[in-house]
Amino acid sequence: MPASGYWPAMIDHPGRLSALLLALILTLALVSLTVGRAPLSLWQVLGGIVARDTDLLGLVVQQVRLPRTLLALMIGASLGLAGAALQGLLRNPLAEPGLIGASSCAALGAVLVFYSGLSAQFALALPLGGITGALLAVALLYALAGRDSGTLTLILAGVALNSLAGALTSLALNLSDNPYAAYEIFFWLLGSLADRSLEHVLIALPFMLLGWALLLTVGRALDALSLGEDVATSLGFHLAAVRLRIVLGTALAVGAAVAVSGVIGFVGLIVPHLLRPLVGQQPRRLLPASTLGGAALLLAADIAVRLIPSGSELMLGVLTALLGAPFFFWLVLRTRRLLL
Amino acid sequence: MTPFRACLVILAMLLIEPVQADAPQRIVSLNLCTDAMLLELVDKERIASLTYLSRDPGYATWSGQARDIPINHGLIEEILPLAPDLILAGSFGARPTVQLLERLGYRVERFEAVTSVADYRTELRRLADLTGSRARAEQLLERLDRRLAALRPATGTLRPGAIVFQANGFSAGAGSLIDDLLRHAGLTNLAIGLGIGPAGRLGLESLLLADPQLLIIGEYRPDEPARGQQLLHHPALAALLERPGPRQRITIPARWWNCAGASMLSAVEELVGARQRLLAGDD
Repeated sequence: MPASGYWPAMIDHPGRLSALLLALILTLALVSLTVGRAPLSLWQVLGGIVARDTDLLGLVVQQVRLPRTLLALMIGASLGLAGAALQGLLRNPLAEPGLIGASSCAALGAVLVFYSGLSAQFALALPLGGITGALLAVALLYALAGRDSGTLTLILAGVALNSLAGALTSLALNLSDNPYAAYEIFFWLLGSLADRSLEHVLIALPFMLLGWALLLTVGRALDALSLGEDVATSLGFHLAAVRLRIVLGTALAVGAAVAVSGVIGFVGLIVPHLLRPLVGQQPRRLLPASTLGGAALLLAADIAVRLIPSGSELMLGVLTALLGAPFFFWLVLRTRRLLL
Repeated sequence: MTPFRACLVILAMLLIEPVQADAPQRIVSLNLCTDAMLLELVDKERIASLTYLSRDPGYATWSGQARDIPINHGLIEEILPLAPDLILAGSFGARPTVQLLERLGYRVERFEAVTSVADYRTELRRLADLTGSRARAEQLLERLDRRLAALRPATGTLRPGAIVFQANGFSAGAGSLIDDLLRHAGLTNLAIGLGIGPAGRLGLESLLLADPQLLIIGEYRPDEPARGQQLLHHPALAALLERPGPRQRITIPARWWNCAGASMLSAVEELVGARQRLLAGDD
């Protein structure tokens, strides 16, 4: 099971992977700030960050590009971390917030709050709506497919939740009086970071930080859990408390993310799988690595979305699906091969 | 017939106004903008149906007048029972219905979207000829021209830079009615240099870098939330208005300039007011 023979340089020196990922994130963040309708040079970007925001460059960099970059970072981190935690909890390589229905239920919650006008009066209602949706989804999923979740049960439960949430979201949007609402389904179900502002960053950040805090502390318990529930209990871990933390942490991080950006899938699936060999298959080390890896992946995807020439900007979820679906196929093939 | 009688008959023919026996009496309109022009030109009794959009005050400034006129949704089952003798259609929308009506032999006249005030004059006169209401059309146009001339700024004065921003970042470039109205109000449409055509999406960055003095927000339903409308309240726009120099932000209800008509004047008045405030140095 352990693949420590492949990446000893990474596995034996945990700091190296983190340092590498952080360097990658910093580079991608700077690239993200230079990319846009009007390409800016690195110097212009750095100048814009420190300029007063009545200066045109400062305005563009601080009010338009910086929020977008920060959100890509935060949301990618949340999705990567939640994916790793869910895979550890459910002991299933296919668990991730999108597939199990947490993201689409979060979108439903956010849509109900936004189009009813609630979030216009009380800004924090938007992430809270997303969090409530995600919480209900994860709790429901755990009740349906939790304990000895075979892959089939998990996937079926996820499909059911995704279908229901998608249908209800579409219904809610069609019932809105505003003529634009019906067409905004694409944003909610495919995700986008275009035209976001610092306000969005500020309303999502506190909930995400809380979610990260809850999820990053379950590392040791997940290590024990990978040896089996009885072993984990005998080692003194309170499994109910661990489950609660993961459910709450996922709901907070993913709910707030989806409320601001729509559903972005597959990040939580791909990142833990890519990084697992590099951390020696240890769930405890996979959590922080997935956080950083998710941030890097989504930053890269968001840069690609802006570089691809097309009339109106491509939805971010389309790009992550283009990456994730082939990956998913590969996973299926590998599982079949293992089963044969 | 004696010469005297002949003279009487000729006199009678000259004094009695000719009845326009061929003027359509059951006119159906399938397009919001033709609804507007039709209501301006003919009496309600001759209108068999208007689009359902005309009843919505969010879209139509004439919604009060449309309240007692039957409405249609562009469906063939609604139109055939009305036995129309003239059908007005736009170039988009209800296309299968329009094609079917033409195949069935009904008289269908298509109207393209109006792209300028001059275009409006042409289209209004064309509709007037179709419906036999030339006199009323000339009256309306004369009033329009008079008010536009009164609002026109003196030649040689400054033309401040302006950009229109509507939901989802749509703006109006060259070849659009909005652009023509901006010109009539003495403003420079900065969207033209940004390559978006008559209607196209303008990125927020492009708008900011164009550095307009006048930001014109075109809103449909400000009270009902939609993600596309959130962009109109982006904090970057507020920061733009804090920049040095006189700056103004005005909101024009999109229904004033979606269709050409009397409401264009309201839009031009607002624009001229904003221009005057800018030139006076107000912030």
